[in-house]
Amino acid sequence: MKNNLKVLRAERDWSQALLGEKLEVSRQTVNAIEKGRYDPSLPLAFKIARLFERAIEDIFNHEGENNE
Amino acid sequence: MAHDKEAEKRYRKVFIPAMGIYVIGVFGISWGEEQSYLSAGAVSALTLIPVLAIFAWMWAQWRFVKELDEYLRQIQTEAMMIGLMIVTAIASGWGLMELMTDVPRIPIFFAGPGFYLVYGIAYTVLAKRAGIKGGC
Repeated sequence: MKNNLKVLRAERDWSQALLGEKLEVSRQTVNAIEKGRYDPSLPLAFKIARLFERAIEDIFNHEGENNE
Repeated sequence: MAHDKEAEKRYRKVFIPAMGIYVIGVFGISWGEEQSYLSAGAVSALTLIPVLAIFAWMWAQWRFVKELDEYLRQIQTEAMMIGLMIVTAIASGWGLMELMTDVPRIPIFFAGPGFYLVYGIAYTVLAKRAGIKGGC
């Protein structure tokens, strides 16, 4: 699954560690999600969406699908 | 994440003394038995010491894994599964050969350390791939 978490994070000038703190996960987890190595659970995806005030599908999409 | 570091600290607080008791227990019983200080009954009774240490250690590990975030927990679980699969496969294969042929006998005692060895190696590889330092 692809996502634009890195872009959203960069827009706010947040580090991976800071985003991890806000989401209550480790920096490594943020890094793995950004790089597409790990797909977050539904509760974590909702948490990310709430934090960035976006719909989940605006942040995550299956490969080949366009978002935004 | 501070929570993961706290979890690791809590794990080490139990793991280090439990490991110490386990090592002292195993070597102490082995030495006592070799010196003929201990009867078979005493060896069996004293074996409870390292067994209880293992239970304490495993309880700490259970708590540690549960306290990690979902990605770190997945890495730990994958490493444990690799350890379990490899040790079970080797133990089953070797055990079968022990039953059917004259291969040397390997004490079942080594299954535990064998699991932790493979788990440790698997975790190191998976963690390195994920860019994680420490925490097995």
